[in-house]
Amino acid sequence: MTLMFLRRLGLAIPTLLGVSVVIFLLMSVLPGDPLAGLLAQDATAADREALTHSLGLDAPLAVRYVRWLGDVLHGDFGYSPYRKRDVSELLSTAFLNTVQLAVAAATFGIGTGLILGVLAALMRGRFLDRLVSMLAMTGISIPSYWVAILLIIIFSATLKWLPAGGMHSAHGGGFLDYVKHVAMPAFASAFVSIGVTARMTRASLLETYNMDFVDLLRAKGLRGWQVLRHVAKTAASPVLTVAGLQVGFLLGGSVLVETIFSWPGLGQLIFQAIVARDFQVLQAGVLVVAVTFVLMNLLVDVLQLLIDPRLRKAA
Amino acid sequence: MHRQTAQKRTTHHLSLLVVLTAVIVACASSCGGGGGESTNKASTQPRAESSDVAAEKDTSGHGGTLRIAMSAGNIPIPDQFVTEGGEGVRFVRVNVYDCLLNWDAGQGATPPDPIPGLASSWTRSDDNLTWTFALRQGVKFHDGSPFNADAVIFALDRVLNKESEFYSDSQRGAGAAVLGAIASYKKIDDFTVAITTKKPWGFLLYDLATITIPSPAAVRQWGNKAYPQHASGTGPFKIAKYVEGQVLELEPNQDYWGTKAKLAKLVLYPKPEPAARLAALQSGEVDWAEVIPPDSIEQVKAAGYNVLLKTYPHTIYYGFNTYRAPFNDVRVRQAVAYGIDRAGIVSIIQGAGKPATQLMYEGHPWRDTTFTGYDYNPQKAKELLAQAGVQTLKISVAYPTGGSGNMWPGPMNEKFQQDMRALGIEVELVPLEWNTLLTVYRAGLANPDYAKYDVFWFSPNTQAPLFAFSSYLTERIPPAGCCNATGYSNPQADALFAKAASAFEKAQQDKILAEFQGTMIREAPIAPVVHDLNLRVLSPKVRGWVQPQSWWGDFRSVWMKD
Repeated sequence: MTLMFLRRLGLAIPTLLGVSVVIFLLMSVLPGDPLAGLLAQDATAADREALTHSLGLDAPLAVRYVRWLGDVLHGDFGYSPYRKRDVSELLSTAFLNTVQLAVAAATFGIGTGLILGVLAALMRGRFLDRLVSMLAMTGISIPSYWVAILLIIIFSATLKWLPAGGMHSAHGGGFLDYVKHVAMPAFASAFVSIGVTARMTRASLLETYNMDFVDLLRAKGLRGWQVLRHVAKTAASPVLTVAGLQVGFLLGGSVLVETIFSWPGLGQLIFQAIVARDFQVLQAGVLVVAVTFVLMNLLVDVLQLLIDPRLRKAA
Repeated sequence: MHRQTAQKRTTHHLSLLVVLTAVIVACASSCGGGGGESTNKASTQPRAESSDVAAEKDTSGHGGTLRIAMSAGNIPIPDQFVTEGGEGVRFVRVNVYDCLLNWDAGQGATPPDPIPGLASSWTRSDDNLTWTFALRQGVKFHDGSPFNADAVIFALDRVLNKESEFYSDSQRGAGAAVLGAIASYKKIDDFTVAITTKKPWGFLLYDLATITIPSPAAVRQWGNKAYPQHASGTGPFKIAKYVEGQVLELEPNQDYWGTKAKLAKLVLYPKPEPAARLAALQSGEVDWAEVIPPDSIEQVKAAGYNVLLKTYPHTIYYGFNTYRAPFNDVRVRQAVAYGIDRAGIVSIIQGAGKPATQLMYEGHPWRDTTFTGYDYNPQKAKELLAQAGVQTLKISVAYPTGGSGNMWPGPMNEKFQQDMRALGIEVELVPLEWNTLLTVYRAGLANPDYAKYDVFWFSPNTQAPLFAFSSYLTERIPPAGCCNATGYSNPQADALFAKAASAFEKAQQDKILAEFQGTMIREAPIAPVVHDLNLRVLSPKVRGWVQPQSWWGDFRSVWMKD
């Protein structure tokens, strides 16, 4: 098992390298100018040259990439000329903000999804099952930005219960203030997770209920919820995979939700970096997202091994 | 907290249904409202310039916290040249910093002019080349260090002198363009500096009103890279709290040399999403929202908010590629200018703009009152096209998908497309990121990469004459200069600009600039579309804000009523 863990970790390195090369190349072929937002509208050619040189953008692409990689390996993500801050500082702040949102969204989304999925499976074919299926489909299909704007219209503009954005109010405020700020973005981000988790939970449970061992358990006289306990353990594996992916997505930060709610997270930071062609932030940001994703997958694999003895044997 | 969670819990199970129902409710109110608006006769015309005069003139109180939702995606970074364009100047530069000259933007009657700032007075040598500035004494930076001639030299060095220790390529790129007329500068004594220009330069005072004077001590202490996090100017507000990407809090500078600010606190939030800005205003999180969706103007007015609209030097135009056919023919350019249904465009944006037939709006001193053309006249447009021998035409129009100060380019360009179709001109709309369009603008339409565009959309800040008009000069055609993107060249216009630049009497200079503008606009290197009305919405609690004819105003007179 340790060996597998290390192997997976080893595989992650070429993945991350590949991601960084692709981003580097993509940024260089994209139309647009990394200096566009830094220069005055009528800046002269000499001003431009000076800045290009001082940012090291006049070096060949390969040289710039190697330079960047070398710095990163030394733990230096560079300095963002757009934000006038060290990239590591920007990223750590943004990542922590996104983690907060992701934890709230994942807890709510996956939790609700699980409950709905279990209910639907237990009430298969009944009204509640159909309702959950419909809601799950809705959750998957509705774009998060639309939900976000709708939430703002209802809960901020009309009812005035919740703030329309940001992480804190002007006068600071304690935990309640924070909960009020995180509620809507978390809810909007959780929508897809609810749908995906509910569907997967339902499908996996139903599949497991059809297995022979369930008949055996019933024949032995176990009751509904006792059977469910055994079934749930067997059915958990695919649900865990899906949930892990959801958490991975959420940790990557949602550009739309974060922008609409002015939540200063990773998604917003990366989006603004793309618009500004801010290489330093973009490269490092994408790398952080990739690392998070890889680690999340790894964590799910380990959890799978812990709950599923069949996999442990295979490993 | 418990109430909150309990509330959340009960809504969890029904939340999805609630949302679905809410769709219908929301649509009934906003979609329906929007539909009603467009048929509303009043909205097909530009809205009257408006403001709550009582609130504007109310000087009866002081204090309070003013919270503002900016349309910027980030907090304007308070370096010597503040980022985030016009909003950066509006909310951060004029509050945190002074320049040698500031602007009298605390009034709305006229476009503001440069007035004494950190320079209290000045004289000009007989050859009109050397200006001597007497500096204000006893002024302190927010960090406590004294302001003097060294600070002025330090500020200029940081942008213009590569040999100086704290020279910054990024500050040069952001600000040197406007200081191009300066040949040299030197300290005469602790409170006197002299600035010499390359040629007699009547725009120097405008130029100097753009370069802020940061605290040399602060820059030395933190270095160029970290300075913005510890920014220190001499302005009427100082930075109390700065959380990158989230919030900037300003407090009044109690030691300010001029009229002191009345507010207790000024809080700035970046909120790039218009619907979120509006909601933040409606829910009471902020007291002031920049550019809300124009569809909601009536709604917020009815709710008692103060909707401010006023022309200021900001005009949307279409720039033509005059290097090649079809727009190397002045008649084709004029035809487009006559063929734009500006009133129609104004009605699409719910009256948040005014039809523009010149670069400067009615009442502005640089408007040429002798020119009355470019009213909507499709018949005349067709005649002009016929004279030019044009039957059908296909043109590509580059426009920005967003970006600060671009108003609502999507629907406005679609209307333009319809108007042109009526003239037999087929418009291909090419959406570009704003930054990409800026690159096109700087490189010019003769550049092989961008020569494919026939027309581009632009929205310049025309508050200072150099930036407003230099983009129509021959010497500014890229790559030799920047940025006459259209390639327009007219020796007569060049001569008028030179004449204005060497005039030192404001009234005389304004007159020549109006003539320059008229000469240029008659040949239509650009077709003006609308003057932005600077839409902003304030809570009735905000008192003493005067909506200026300017990209920025004066926050010192503002206070909050309980």
